[in-house]
Amino acid sequence: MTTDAARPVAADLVLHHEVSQFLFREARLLDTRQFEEWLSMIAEDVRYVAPVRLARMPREDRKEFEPVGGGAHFDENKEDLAQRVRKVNTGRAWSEVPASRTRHLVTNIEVTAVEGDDYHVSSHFLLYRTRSATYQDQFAGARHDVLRRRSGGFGDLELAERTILLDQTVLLGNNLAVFL
Amino acid sequence: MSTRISDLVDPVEGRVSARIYADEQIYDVEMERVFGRSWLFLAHESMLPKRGDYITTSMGDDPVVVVNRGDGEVAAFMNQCRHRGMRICRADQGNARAFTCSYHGWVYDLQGNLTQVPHEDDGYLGALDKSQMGALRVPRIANYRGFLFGCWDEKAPSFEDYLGDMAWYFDSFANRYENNEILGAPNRWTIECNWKFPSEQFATDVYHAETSHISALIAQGGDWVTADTKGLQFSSPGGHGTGFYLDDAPDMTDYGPAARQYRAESREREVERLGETRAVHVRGHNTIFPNFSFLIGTNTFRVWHPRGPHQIEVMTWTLGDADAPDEVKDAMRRNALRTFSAGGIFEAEDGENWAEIQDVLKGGRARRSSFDFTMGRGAAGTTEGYPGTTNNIYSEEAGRSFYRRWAQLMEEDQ
Ligand code: FES
Ligand SMILES: [Fe+2]
Repeated sequence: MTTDAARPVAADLVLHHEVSQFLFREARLLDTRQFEEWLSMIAEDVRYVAPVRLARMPREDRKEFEPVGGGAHFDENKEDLAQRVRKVNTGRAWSEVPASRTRHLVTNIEVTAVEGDDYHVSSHFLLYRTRSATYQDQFAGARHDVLRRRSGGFGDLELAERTILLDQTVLLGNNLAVFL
Repeated sequence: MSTRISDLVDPVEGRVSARIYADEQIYDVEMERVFGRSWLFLAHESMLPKRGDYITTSMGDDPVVVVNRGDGEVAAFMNQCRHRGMRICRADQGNARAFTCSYHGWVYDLQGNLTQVPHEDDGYLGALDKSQMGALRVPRIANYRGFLFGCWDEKAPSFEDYLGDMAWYFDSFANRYENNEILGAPNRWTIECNWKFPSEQFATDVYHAETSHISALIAQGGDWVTADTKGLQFSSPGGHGTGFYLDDAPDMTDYGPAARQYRAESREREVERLGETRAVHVRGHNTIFPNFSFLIGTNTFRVWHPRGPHQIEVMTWTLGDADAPDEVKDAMRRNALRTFSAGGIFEAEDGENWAEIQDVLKGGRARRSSFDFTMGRGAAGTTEGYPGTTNNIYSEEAGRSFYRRWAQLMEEDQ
């Protein structure tokens, strides 16, 4: 959460393009329900966290998001994410049967730091989701990701860390049975 | 109301009219008669360690503030200014010295007393009796093993009497660890369903698990109960209920190796505190009437706040063993989140079912249907070593009791 004020680094066009393409591909895999493929983009030691957000008075602003180890919507490792994929692949995960139609819109992509093979990337997302006949919900927020270079080849990155900062304090949706 | 409640709910025959979940008039009456007279969960004392610590929550659909007054007591009052009804406290939680209304600046102290009014002399000409204008106080607060419950009704029985035999079962949760600690701020989300669906489910319904949660069970790869696994359901005249297996309780949880080892050691202490029966067996699903539910084993507890007949706001917390090493607490917290929160692999299917039922009830003919609660009818009895009325875990005894209690409150005039 420290990266909010960070200025973008002078990432070259190729790096910015590479990072953007990674996030767009991820969005496409999620929205086309290619979850196994999506998992292959995730590092073995990933930490995937969405802290709970609270409405706070101004002098307690800095406590708006729960600290690491506090209330969270997700605080997952790779096996937890794989478990979710196994769940949905049973075909009997009723909250996703029939499947949601989702649209991950990822924007405002900035590379905020480069540390060796790690790229700190901040972005915004809007997840539109509709299911059944008329149901819809939307989740908007920021993502602070660490993308790690795997081999050196263009586009061969993995998601090593993701912190999801949702805008809603009380989530307006029946569940979060989708990936943010 | 033109319809009699006894025409809508028949706990003897095991029938409940679908109307009670979707009718605005019934909702209004239940806010007054059920929520106005029952003990409702407010907070756990560990959420408010210091003077001035507060959280905002609800009693029924009314917003309330719960505050540590600093004298060892907790106050709760309506989050509504007595001048024009503005919310007095607009944050989810924090620490305050006083609460200043953001409309005209009336100031309330940590007990909800009105202490300062701008232009008291030149505006009100000194005629405003501030002592009569405090925020509406929750007149009764009970602290049961650190769990704080409030009640609007001065004539209601004490919290212990209200719990009755449920206290023995609640202790299996509330008294399992020497010291309880709440692990983080609550998860909050909305579900488009009536508050009675989740409350009833946690009281009476282990039946749904094999169907509803099959995908999560497969994904976890854990053992699940077989057809021979026996269990009990407890039902209460107070409308509370719980169900649990009599075998060494199946643990749906996977806390990881360090936590598993700690939990294995701590079981001895749990047996000492609770006795073998409760420590090992009474570890299922539970509701304290009307809308406070908890699951032992995954250590989650929640309030299903009504938001009109067709919506609830869920607030869920994770209960932790305060004396456990940090690593273990963290494993317990993460486990509760990934199983029972808005994103939990078990929770999602429950909300799906309730919301779909609610959607069906938009139909006029659907609302005139009635639901079946006949499982285990006529088979209630007692079981040695377990207080109160019991039945097979696969019964709807506690469901029938839940609606019997609901109907009683709905029919009684104050
Ligand atoms: S409404 Fe609160 S001071 Fe007027
Ligand atoms: Fe369930």
